[in-house]
Amino acid sequence: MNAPPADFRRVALASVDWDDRRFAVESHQPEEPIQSSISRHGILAPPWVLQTAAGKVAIVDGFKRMRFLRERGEREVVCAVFPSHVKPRDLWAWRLEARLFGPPPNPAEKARVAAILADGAFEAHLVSRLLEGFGLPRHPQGLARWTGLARSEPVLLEAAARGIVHERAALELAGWPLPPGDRADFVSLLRHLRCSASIQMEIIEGFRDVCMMLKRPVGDLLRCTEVRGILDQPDWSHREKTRAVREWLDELRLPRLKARERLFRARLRRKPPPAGTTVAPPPSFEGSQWRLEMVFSCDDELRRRLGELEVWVESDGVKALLMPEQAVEPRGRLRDDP
Amino acid sequence: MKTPRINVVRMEAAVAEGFVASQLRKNLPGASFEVVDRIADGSPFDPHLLEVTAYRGRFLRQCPGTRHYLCCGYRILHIGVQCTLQCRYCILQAYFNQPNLRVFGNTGEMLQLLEAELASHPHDLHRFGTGEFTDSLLLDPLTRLSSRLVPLFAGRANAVLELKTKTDFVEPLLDLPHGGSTIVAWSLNAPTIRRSEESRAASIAERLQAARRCAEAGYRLAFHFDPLIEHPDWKRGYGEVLDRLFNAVDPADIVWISLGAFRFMPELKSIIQDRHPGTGIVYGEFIRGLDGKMRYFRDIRVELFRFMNERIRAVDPGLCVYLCMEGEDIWRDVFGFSPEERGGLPAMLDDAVRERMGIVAGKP
Repeated sequence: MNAPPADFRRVALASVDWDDRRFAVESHQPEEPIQSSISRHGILAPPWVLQTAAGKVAIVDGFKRMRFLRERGEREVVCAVFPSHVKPRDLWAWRLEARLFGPPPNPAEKARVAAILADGAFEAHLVSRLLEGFGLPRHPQGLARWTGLARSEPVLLEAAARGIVHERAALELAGWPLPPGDRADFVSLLRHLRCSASIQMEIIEGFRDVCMMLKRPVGDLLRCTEVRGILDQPDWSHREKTRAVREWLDELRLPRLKARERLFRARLRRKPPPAGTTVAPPPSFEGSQWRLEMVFSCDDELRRRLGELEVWVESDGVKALLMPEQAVEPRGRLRDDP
Repeated sequence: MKTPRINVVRMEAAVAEGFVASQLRKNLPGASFEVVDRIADGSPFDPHLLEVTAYRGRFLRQCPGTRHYLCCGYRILHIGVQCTLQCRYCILQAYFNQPNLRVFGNTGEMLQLLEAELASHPHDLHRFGTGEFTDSLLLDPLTRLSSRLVPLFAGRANAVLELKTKTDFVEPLLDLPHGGSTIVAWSLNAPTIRRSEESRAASIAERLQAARRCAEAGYRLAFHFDPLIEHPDWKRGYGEVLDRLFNAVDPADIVWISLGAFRFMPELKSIIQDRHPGTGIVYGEFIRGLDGKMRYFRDIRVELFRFMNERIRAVDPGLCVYLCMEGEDIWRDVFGFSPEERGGLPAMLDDAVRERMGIVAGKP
C-alpha cells in the first residue's frame, strides 16, 4: 500500500508562508479549546505542510495550531512535510480522507469541501465517495447550493459553523441574492431569535414571500419599525420574540385570512359558547370540518352543558359565526409605509 | 405558433415501425432517428429530443383527484409525458425523472384497450381526455395521433374525447370524421398571465381563432380557466378574456367551462423560484389545503370563481360551469348549491354532454 510521501521533521516557523492559504478550511470555531490543549499537552498530531519552490512551506493542515505556536513565540514544530512535487489534488484527497474520520464537519466546513470537490480536479469515484462521506448531495443542483454557501460572507459561514443559523437556513440564505449587509442583518435576526431549524426556514420563507408581495427589498423589512420594536423588547424571551416575528410575517403574508380570524374571534366574543365548550374553525377556514370541544366532569354536568349548547346553537348569531363571509380586504403593509 | 423543434427522435425498437414512428419519419424529414432497445428514465434534459417509447403502464387512468375535494371524474387516456410550452406554473417541471418530451408509440395497444373499455361498459357515459401529462395537440402535427383517436370516438353513443391544449395546432383535426363526439378544449388565462407565465403557448387570439375554426368544423368546445391567478387588475384581465371568448365563439358550442384556482405541491415552489426567479405567482395568500397542496385562502378563491361565474352566466345562464378540485363549501358560496344536490359533479358533466352534444348513453 502506498502511504502519502511525507517526512516527519522539524520545520522552522520562520519558513512558513503565512499568506499561502490555498489549503485552508475555515471551521469558524473558537480557537480557545485547541490553544488550551496545546498549552497542556503540546502538539499531539503533527501539522501537514508542503514544500514550495521558494524554499518555504505552505500549511496544508494545522493552520490554527501553527498560528498559535507562532503567537507563543515557538521557533519550530514537528510536521509531516510533503515534497514540492506532490500534487495539490493528492494532498486534498488525503486531507479530506483523513477528515472523514474526525468529528462531524460543520456546515461551513462542508461548504468548503463541496467547493473543493466541485472544481473538477478529482476522479468521479473519489468525488462520489467523499461527497457521501461528508453528507453532501451528489446531484449538481444540490451541490451548487453548497458551493454557493462556500462563497457566502464570513458572517453567514461563521453563524452556520456555530449553529446560530442552521444548515438548511444557511443554504437558503446563501442562495438568496441579497446585498451583503442584508444577509448580515438576517444573521443578526436569527441570532436574536435562537429558533429551531424549521422555524428559521419558515421565517426566511416568510420574509421572502413578503418582499415579493410588497415588492420591497428585504433590508426594508429587516430594519423596519416593527422588527426593531420586537427585537428591542427588553422583557421578552427569545421565544416570545420569535412568536411575535412569525405573527407579524403572517399578518403581512395572509392579511385576508388574518382578518377573517379576527372577525371570527370578535363574533365568538359577542356570542360565546356555553361554559366548558370551545369552538374552532377548520385550519385556515379550509373545508367544512369545524371542531367543538366540551369539558365535563359527570353525567349531570354533561346533560346540562348539552342543553346549554342546544340553546346556543339555536340562538341568533351562531349561523353568522359559522357561515363564511367575505372578510374586508386588507392588504399587507409596513408601519413605515406612507 | 410553431411546432416544437425536434432534432433527434429516439425510438424504442418495439415501436420503431408503428403508426407514430412512421408519422414522425414523414413529418420530421430533417431530424435524425435513433433506434434503441429501451429508453430509460432519467436521461438528461434535451429540449430538441423526442422519445418514442413502448408504454408499459396504464393507458387508461382516473383523474388524480383526492377525496378531500370534488373531482370531475374524467378519465385520462395517457398518450405521453412532458411539454415544451414550459408554463411557469406547470407541475410537469417536477417530473425530474422524465424531463424530455415523450410520446407512447404502441398506439395500437392503447386503442385496443380503449375500445375494450368502452365496449365493456356500454351503458356508461365515458369522458376521456389526453391533456393530463402533456398538451393534447402539441405534437399532433407530427404524430397525427388525432387521426386515430378522433374517428374512434366518432358517433359513439357512450363516449366523448376531450383534447385540451394551449396551442393552435388544429389543422390536422379539421377534416377528421369526428361525429360530434370530440370536444376541443383550450386553457385560457388573463393576457398578462399569458404573456408572463405561459409565453411559449399560443396567444389568446391564436387560441380563440383556433377554437372558432374547430367550431366551424362542427366540433364542440370547452374552456378551462385553470390556473386562475390573483394578480393586479385580475378582474379586468379575466373579464377581457371572457369578452373575447364569447365574441369569438357561439356559447351554444361550448359544452363546459371549468374554473380552477392556482394550486401547487409545496415542493414546486422552490423549483419555480429557481427556474423563474422573476415570477410572482408563488407569492400570494396561500394556505395548505386538505390535500397538502398550497392554494389561495378560500375567500380569494370564492372571489375569483364568483366573478368568473357571474360573467359567464350573464352570457349563457345554461352553460355548465364547474370548479376543479374544490370542496362543497366553496361550491355553495359560488353557485349556491353543492354538486351532491344535483347527483354529483360527474353527473353534472354527463348532463352537459347530453344536452350540448346530444349523446344519450347512461341516461337514467
